[in-house]
Amino acid sequence: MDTVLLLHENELTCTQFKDHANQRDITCMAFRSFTCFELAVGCAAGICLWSRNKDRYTLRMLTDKRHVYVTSLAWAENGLILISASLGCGNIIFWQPEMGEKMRFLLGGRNGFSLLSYTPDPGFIFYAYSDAGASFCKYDGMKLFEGTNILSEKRIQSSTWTQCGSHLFFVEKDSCLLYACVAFPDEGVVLDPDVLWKPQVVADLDRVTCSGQHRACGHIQSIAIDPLDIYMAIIFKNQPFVLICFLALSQVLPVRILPRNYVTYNGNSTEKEQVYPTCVKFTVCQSKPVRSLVIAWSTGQLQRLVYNAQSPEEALSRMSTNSNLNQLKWTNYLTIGYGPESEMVVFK
Amino acid sequence: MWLTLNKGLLPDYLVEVPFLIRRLLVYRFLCATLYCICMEFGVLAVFLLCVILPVKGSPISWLCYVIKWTFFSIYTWILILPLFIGIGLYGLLLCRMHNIRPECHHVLFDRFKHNFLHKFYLMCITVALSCYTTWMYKGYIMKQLTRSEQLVMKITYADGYLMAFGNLCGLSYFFTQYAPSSFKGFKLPIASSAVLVRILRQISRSSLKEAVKTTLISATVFSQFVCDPGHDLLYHSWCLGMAISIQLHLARCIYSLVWQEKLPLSLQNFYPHSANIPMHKLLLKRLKVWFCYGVMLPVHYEDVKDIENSRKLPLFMALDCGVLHGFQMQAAMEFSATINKPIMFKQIFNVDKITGCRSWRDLRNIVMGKVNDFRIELATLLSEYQSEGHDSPELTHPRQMRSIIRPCPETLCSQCRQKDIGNEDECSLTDPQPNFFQIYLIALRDKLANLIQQHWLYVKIDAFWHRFSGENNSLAELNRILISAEPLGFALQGIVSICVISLRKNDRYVVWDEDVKRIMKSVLELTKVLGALEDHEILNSGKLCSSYRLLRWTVLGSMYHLLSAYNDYLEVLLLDDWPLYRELKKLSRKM
Repeated sequence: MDTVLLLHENELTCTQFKDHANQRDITCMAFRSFTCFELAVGCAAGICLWSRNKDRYTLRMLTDKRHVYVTSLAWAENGLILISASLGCGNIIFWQPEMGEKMRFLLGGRNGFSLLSYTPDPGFIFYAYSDAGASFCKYDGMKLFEGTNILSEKRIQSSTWTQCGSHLFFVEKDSCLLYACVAFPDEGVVLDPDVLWKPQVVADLDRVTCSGQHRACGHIQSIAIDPLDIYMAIIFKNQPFVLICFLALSQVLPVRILPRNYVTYNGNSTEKEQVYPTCVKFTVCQSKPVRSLVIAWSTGQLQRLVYNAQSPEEALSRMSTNSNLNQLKWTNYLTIGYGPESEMVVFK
Repeated sequence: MWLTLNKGLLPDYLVEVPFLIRRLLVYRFLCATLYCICMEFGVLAVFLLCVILPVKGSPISWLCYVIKWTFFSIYTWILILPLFIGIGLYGLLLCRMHNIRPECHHVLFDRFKHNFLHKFYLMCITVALSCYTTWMYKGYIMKQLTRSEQLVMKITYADGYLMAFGNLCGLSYFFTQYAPSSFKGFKLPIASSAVLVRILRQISRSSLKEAVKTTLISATVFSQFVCDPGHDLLYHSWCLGMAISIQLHLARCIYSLVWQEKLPLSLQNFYPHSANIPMHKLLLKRLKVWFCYGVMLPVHYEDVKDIENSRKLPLFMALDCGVLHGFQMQAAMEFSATINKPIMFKQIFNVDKITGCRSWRDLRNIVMGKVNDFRIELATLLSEYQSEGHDSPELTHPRQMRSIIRPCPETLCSQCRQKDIGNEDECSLTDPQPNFFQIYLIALRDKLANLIQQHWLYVKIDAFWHRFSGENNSLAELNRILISAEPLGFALQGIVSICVISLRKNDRYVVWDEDVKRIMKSVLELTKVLGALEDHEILNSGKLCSSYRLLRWTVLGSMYHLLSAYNDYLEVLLLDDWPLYRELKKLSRKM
């Protein structure tokens, strides 16, 4: 996993970002908000910061002594601060690349983190330890509030926040259950109430029936949520399809999901083995108000489904969507991300 | 020299800065010094406990000893007063270095001299503090050692050893903290609720390491030259080393935390008379209110109101304060970080019945005025450089040296450099039959080449000295302007956030179109000037400082933020300004 591929114009051309000395074993990436092009890539040595300056791409490395094998990245404060979590040390680091400063936070002092998710609206950070357990903490611009543990037994496989920042969905390793967490402020006589997090089971996705098919899904691999919080895409381990569900979010009632349809690989699978989806992400195109779901298949192709519904009611009434499969095969994918100009980034 | 030393320590913000800011800074300094005084007592108490620990006795006797010698002893109180003054001076020096205006040094030598002076002051203060602490604590150690009759050597030796050890601690602290890089200012910490515990843990770990290292070094040196210090003295000197280094670390830490605490910025411009209450009356009022709360007496409402109001600092004043660089930077960063909160938002657009929407107007005027001044300064400086550059083209490459060995002209043979032969095959030197004379000649030629190379080294040193002492750093003035304009980037981001949020909440808070147009125009021109700076840097051989990158990122970020929010409204907004509209559209497409 050494190269970052930037795909332009509906996956017809691509730019490669390679740096053999530093950029090895890439795990994650994040585009910086409010810049034309700045990309932070987490790799084994630390963080590579690519920036574009009049058709020249330059690389800057952000390293710290034990901060190796970076697992997750997130930009905060409109791009001022970069939050990163790694397997190497028990801190999450808040970098300020422009000012050249970094602030470390010792959180639990354990063996590193496997996951970090950040939502800017209320400023919550959800981080999962690499051995077991997960916690929340709140980052408020200038202050970082200590976190509350929610789980201490199992490892977290994947997590994602809704766009409005009200719910966090996560799945545990080797489990069919989908959990959701909502923040309940501890209302009382206290001036600054502490926030309580209550995980609730949303659904058991062992067997799912929808659009006339009954399938056994099994362990959940990863989840992705639509930018308008209408759809959720779930991929399972060793299953050749992607499940699309409707999301029914509410602060008061329990969260529910409604399975909508299965998406399968609609290209020519000449190989004897089955084709599996490796990663899935909802992307937003800035110039046109469309959202699309991009699925990366194990054959090295990308499938794009376009969704036009702007509200849950519209989504419920409309049932068909366009889908097209890109004929070019790039390579094996690890993660997809989307940038400000609807460019897509994948890893090789 | 003494006069400059004196002036160097006194901060000039006691003169040039508005009264409110001065009051806030003096209050913070006094608070920090008070915390340091408590910290001193704490360190002394812990040190005494460590000293008394080896002596047999019950914990109660230890406690009595400690309390007797810290709070109830006149000897301690008299001795510790100069230490308070010393810590206060240390804090004053640190705060001044945090707030100092960036200066322009054209010559490398001047900059070196300037930095050296600051480092020298720091070194004097740290060594003086450690010296005095050693002298004070030595009394306790000697009392303990002589009483217990465990001293194996003469008292004068032990005295000298401890004094030397103390000074060594101070010096090592200075060299580990300040010598590697100059102290630019306090870093803005992201405060956390458990920050003190974390800092204490970090400090104790680093002090332990330093103290052990210094103890071992001094013990080995001492035992080599004088006599074996004995494990008792070693233990006491280790306690002393820990105490000194913890004291110095904590002093700096306390000052940095208190100084960088969240500023009480307020957006109101209207002030009651309580703004002008002098410092001592305010302190008395606070003490009175605190006492009344404690004893459950009724409190005067005006006192509480005065205290409340005196805490507020107008945002415009803070952003306008160019004399205090560190303070202005902190104010700008806090402004841009907290502007998204709805409470701040309501305050900005609080429409006064008489004066209209005054808060927004003042804020906009100050920030955009500074942005325009900065842009004009940069543009004039750039045009000066460009006009200068055309006059003297040789100065752009002063480091290139003429090659001593002239390149071979084309008509001569490149092997023997003699005959004007068109065909190199006829040259006699191509004949590969070496004889002794030719080998000797070749060896001589190599030796000569080596000599010339060595001479090159002298020439290089000379060039280096010339660059160090004489040569102009062409971008020094530019760098100074950039560093002092760092807070502007954040202030601009704050203003742009206000515009964008007002777009979303269009029904309640409105930023007039004229304002938005003018802001867009200023930001666009600023991005152009910053782009021109980068071209200038590439053409010339200077180097822009890191603030350029920060400024570029903040300004471009604000531009992008504005464009992405107002993208659909640009036609309506810029109906009468067609060139600006075209430029902005082009920029938004490029972005």
